[in-house]
Amino acid sequence: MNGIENILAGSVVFSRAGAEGRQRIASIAQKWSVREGETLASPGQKASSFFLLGSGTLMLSMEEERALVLNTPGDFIAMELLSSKGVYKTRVTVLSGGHVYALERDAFLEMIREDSADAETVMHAWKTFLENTAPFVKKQDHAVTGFEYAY
Amino acid sequence: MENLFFEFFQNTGFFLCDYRNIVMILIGIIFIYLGIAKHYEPLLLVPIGFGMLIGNIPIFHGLGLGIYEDNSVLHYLYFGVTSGIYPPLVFLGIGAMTDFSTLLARPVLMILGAAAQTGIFLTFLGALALGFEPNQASAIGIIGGADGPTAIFLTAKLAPALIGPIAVAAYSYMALVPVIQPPIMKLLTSRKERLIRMEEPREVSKREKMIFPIIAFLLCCFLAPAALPLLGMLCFGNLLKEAVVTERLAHTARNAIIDTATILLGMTVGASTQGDVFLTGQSVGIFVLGAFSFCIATACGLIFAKIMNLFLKTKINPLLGAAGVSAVPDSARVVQMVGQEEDPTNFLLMHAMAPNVSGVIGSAIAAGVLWSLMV
Amino acid sequence: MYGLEAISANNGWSIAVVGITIVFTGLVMLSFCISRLHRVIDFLEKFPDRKERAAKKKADKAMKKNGGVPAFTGAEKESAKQYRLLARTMADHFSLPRLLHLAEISGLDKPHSRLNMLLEAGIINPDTEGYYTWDLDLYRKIVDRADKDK
Repeated sequence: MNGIENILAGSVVFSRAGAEGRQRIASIAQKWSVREGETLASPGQKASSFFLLGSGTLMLSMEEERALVLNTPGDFIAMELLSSKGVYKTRVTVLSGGHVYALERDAFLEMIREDSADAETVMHAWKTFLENTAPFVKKQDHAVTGFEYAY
Repeated sequence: MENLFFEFFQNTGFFLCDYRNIVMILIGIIFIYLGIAKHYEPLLLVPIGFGMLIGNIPIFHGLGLGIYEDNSVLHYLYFGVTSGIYPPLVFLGIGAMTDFSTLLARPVLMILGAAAQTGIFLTFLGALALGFEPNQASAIGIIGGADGPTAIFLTAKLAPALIGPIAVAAYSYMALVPVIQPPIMKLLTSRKERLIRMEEPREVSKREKMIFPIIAFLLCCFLAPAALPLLGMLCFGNLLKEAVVTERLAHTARNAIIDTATILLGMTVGASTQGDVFLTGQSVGIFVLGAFSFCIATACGLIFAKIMNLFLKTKINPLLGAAGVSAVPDSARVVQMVGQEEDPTNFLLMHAMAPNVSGVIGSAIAAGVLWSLMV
Repeated sequence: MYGLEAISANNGWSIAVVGITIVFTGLVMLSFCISRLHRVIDFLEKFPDRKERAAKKKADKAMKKNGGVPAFTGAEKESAKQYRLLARTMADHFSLPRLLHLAEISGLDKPHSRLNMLLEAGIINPDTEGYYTWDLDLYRKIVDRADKDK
């Protein structure tokens, strides 16, 4: 097994998906080496990728100055954790160097929208992962009032 | 019953309406349009524009509704303007936003901020020549400082009756910086001068940035104590920003406090422009002199930069002189824009911020000087 | 009264000259002071440098004695202290990106990896709302105890 398959097999989100499903995900992934201080995504940018952590530590800076630090290989930074309506809403900063796998966002979304057991398993695992690691993300959506502006 | 209806109708805006109210309401709508659709200083023009609508609803005097009626809510809000409370609060926020690094890196550019203030005093002379009282002339001259809070502060102290027209003129010209300044800049500089590249500024240490507001405050306020309310708050805000350990306070100053002060300042200044008070020959004179003041201030900055070049080994781009008129950060942006029209790879913005923030200090000192000389 | 006559009658010329002179004097003086400021600071900074170097040596020695808790190097301990100072300016449940931002603008060395070090050591811990808390006891164990050993 190569690197990404190991990571997927150990990931809370993807471990229960079948081997075929994991292979499909591996096929849309690209390995990136990341360095301390680097920014992988900034709010307002077009969301083109989701990120699967290979090694190192990432900090996700969200609305209302909340943050989430992820350092377990297989942690998945995607969907409502990362973007909204095709635009990044979270800043992803590298705290310690390592590597991540960038998954093509559109291809991944297409995959999980399929009517398949793998897609259902991944989505179920994703919800569990989100509830465990970032329980505040859902509440945050309700907190956006639309009254924000910049001086 | 008919009488009741008639009496009520007599108290409605439709009955009490005067053509001056309509004119001012239209001006208010234009301000709101320029702010929202054209993005001309929306954070200022929208509150002022809506304030104009508020101030020009024809009302029955005696009900305690109008801004000039002692017992009205608007009057209490307007107290922050007439007593000079809001402008120092805005300055606190500006201080907490301003990075003086470029100024600290090239202190010589600070003199451009002083040069642009010459326009204030030339306009003061012009206003005197046109028959304005010295107090009024001072308030009109300060429009050239291109600094709304300073203009309002000085006018509140010296000529409270003129706050409406002076504030509207000052903010209008500030919003029109990208329209007013470029022709003067092109007229007074050659292409060769506009192409001058500035040297990279040196790194400024955190400690320098922390010490600067203390030195600036002590020095300027010892020299011109009347500048204390404005400069004191500006430097205090900047110290909060640079001290790091007070970041929480700096954050409040540059967000909640300045926003609150700006909303109340803009809205009440707008509301003070009631047609019968605002639409006078004097207001027209103020607008004309205000434009003159602004243009002269820009020209003085540019000319002084050219004079400095006669003595400096490393020439400076004279366009920077135009940024001495405060109007932070718009006049610095205009310098960048005009410079890049000649050379798209010439980045002057960072350098222009030095005279720009120096202009804020300069106009506050000028206001302090005028205030103390008039009292 | 209008024109030059009005200017003279109201003492306009003198006011304008005095005003311009004071504004120029103020800004020229300030400009002169700040042009010397960095030299003064550079001069003053030379003294504590030597003291700091000596203190660091001592701290490194003391660190070796420090067992049972994650061992920080002298520089790491300094960063931890600076982070502590910054965190003290924030609420008990603070924002991590804000803390990192403060560290960056304060010029802390390697702000990202040092923040990660504090997270890994368990000095900074997440709450359930996306904010973080500072474990003062652990921090003292790691940083302060070594200082006392000196």
